[in-house]
Amino acid sequence: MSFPALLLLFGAVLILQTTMLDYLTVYGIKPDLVMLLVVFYGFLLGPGEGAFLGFAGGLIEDLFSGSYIGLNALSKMFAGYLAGVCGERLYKENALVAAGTTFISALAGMLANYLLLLYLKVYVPPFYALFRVALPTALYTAALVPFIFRRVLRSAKR
Amino acid sequence: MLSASVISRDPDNWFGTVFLNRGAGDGVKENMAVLTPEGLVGRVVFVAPATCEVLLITDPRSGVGSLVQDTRTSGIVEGIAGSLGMARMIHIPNDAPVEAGQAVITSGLGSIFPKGVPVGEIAGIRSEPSGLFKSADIRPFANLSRLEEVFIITGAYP
Repeated sequence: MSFPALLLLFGAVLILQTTMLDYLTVYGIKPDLVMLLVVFYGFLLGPGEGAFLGFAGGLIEDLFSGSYIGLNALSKMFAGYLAGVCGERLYKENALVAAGTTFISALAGMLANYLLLLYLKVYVPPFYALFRVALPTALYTAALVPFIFRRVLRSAKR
Repeated sequence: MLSASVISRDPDNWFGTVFLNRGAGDGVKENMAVLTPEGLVGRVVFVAPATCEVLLITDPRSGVGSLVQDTRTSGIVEGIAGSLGMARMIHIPNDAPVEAGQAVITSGLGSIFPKGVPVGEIAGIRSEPSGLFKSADIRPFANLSRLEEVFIITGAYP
């Protein structure tokens, strides 16, 4: 999939994220679809591409939300890079491996997000940050991987 | 008072913000209180010509001067994380007679929220690490995860 098409996909996913996804929350948690795409493509295309897509996707998300510009750009860049590193070492065409990588990378991205929030003096108690936000978000995001794995794998190979 | 519809929400699980379909053209200004018939929702933090952004009381950047309705014990209700749907009342004196089930209302201090607006119900009480105060978990009366229509208080704007 070409880069402009991916950017459009990020935009479409963000519209979904800010509107419809609130009806699919589990204990208040909704999946991070931008993180899912970044980690997935990072896993399939490599660390450089993953970092770049993470930065682009995160920046679009920051511009959409209008809050701290760069917050999601940096955390998703880290997650995309980590997913790319995992993709170089693991078997890519297995949905479970992809789901596991998504969980680890999404969790790392969420923790990076938390550290950046602390730097910005936005304090969330560590227990809630880890067990009520970061872990559930990473789990829910990773749980969506098997549903879209084959389609994304095909588009990434084009 | 102005009615408004929620048109989108914050894309991630850390923050708690919503966007409404009323803006400067409708007379909305920053720091106007937003509520539902059940209770307080938050305050306007950003105004555009046709939309505005509302910081929910569950957002970690939010703080509401509050009182326990029965005992008139004062404290500050601050958000924990947007996805949690809970807030907590901090700086409650150790000897204050607060217990689970009591209602919390706005105190009117800070000149942002009018006095007497229902905020939530005390769900649990714990001691703060300093040992000097205690804090109470607050379950908001307004269902912040299912907001569709809200009211913006225009008349009490200071």
